Amino acid sequence: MSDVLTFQDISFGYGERKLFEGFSLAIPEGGITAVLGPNGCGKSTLLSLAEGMLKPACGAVLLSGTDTLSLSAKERARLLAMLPQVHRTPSMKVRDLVACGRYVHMGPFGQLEKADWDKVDEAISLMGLEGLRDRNARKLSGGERQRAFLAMTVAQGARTLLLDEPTTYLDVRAALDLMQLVRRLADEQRTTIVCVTHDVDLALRFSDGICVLGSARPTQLLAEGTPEEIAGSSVLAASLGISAVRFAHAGEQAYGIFPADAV
Amino acid sequence: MAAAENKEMKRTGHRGRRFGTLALLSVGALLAAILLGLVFGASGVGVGDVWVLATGQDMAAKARSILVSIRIPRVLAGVLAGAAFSVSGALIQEVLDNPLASPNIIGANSGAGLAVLTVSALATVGIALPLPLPAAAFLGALVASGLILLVSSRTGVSRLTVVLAGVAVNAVFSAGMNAVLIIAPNAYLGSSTYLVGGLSGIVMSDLGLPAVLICAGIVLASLLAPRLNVLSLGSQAAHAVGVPVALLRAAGLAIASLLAGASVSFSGLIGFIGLMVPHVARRFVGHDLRRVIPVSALWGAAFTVAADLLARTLFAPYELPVGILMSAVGGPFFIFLLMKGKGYRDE
Repeated sequence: MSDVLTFQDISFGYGERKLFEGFSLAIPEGGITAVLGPNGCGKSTLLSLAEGMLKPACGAVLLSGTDTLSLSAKERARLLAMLPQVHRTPSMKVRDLVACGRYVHMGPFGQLEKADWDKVDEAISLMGLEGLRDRNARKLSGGERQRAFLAMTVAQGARTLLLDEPTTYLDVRAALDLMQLVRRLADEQRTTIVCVTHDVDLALRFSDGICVLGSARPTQLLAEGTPEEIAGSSVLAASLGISAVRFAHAGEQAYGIFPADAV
Repeated sequence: MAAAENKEMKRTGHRGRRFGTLALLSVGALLAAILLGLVFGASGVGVGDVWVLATGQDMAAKARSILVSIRIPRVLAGVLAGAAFSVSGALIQEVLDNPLASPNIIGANSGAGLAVLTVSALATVGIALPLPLPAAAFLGALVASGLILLVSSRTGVSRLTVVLAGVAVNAVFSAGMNAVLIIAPNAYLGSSTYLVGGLSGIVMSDLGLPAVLICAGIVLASLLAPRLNVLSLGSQAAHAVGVPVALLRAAGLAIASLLAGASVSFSGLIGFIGLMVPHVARRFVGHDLRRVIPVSALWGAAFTVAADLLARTLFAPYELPVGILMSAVGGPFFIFLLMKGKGYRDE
């Protein structure tokens, strides 16, 4: 299995403060990789660096071997999609919102071909939004909005998808449903997914691989491994001050989170 | 579920028809405003005279000369200025992602005004720049909006900061205009009207180049509308789907500057309309720029022509600059709309 997204010797800081210095991380192709770490450790910054919104002072972010900064906006959008955390919901119909994912395919007058609309409708069905197609996105619940945005990234058709805290503003059930949809994207569409999150239990439950970042600056990669390996080690205690205990119920596995000193 | 879906489809089908009806009504309102603007004024011209002129028949020399050299240029100026400022405001609000922005607030109008007054003042002392006034005005507006774009493109800048920067840019250019008018009081005929925006004394030759620029600006804005719509995802999500965010915003602001500048070159600094009309339009047709742009153009034009008609007939033989009347009438109407629309949020 090859690496699809590689952070190579990245140095980056906001102003004087060095956030990363010589930081390296490789995301393997396929499956869901979750990135965990305390607030302010630069999880979201990593995604912005991958997207080329921010430029590293040193080092490079490689997308299938190519420096992302050397790609045009069009080329990059075909390879890499992203669901940012802070997005205001625009006042447009769900179908038009999802169609934003086809931006790079717009003709000279901003029009889309039938093939593009087919992709849009496919993404809408995949996210179970058929009944809400013509609803204004601002009138949706939090979970429905997030699914609509996810449908937009699906319509984009990129092989790699970055999720920036996708479950933060969702209630518990909506968060579970969303992660199930993300799991389906990884399994059925073979999309490589990188998910930055605070929801450790969801990350452990739904991911194939976990990267844990430390709380010291510059930020270090403390550990990489499968959810079982991470939950079984002391790295969550070192990074987040918690420990995770595995439960099985009705053939499914889930993790309970405790303060590290209580277990 | 199926019933809900059906209801939803009916609702949106209804919406689509509603927009068609609204567009037709808007065109009708504009035509009515134009006709009234041609007919009413200090001297009487009948609806019949307009028809006679339009069909190319012989007519009385006096009525003909009033129509051709006074009323038609004036009404045309109202149409052009109203459409230009309104579309400019719609573009600026979308590009800066800021419902408080408009060509007068970010200083585009005063930038254009300063350029116009400076070129005119230089001409009175014998320095003729090879630059037509509309082009100079465009450059002035471009400098102002360029400054605002520079401020807003720095990361972490709030929408409030952008508006404050606009107020500052506006203050500097306004100071410049007042300075030019004090140093060279004869630089511009009717300069006191110019600062609030007025349409008196406009002749056809003032309107040729601005008309071309304004039509081009509206066409370009309409072509860019589907792309500009994607900006409302927020800059990070727009970037992720492949929008060249900085380039698109710069293009949007350049077109907005072209529109505001071309209009300021003949109408002066008509301010309030560029803020108000796009807001009113969005309340009726939603946020889709493909609808907001044409509706803003039609309503802005109709409102300006109607307001100018009132401005020159209400206190006849005295005449108010249209900019004053538009603020006086538009302000309370805008407040009424804001208060009526409970829970109306223009995020």
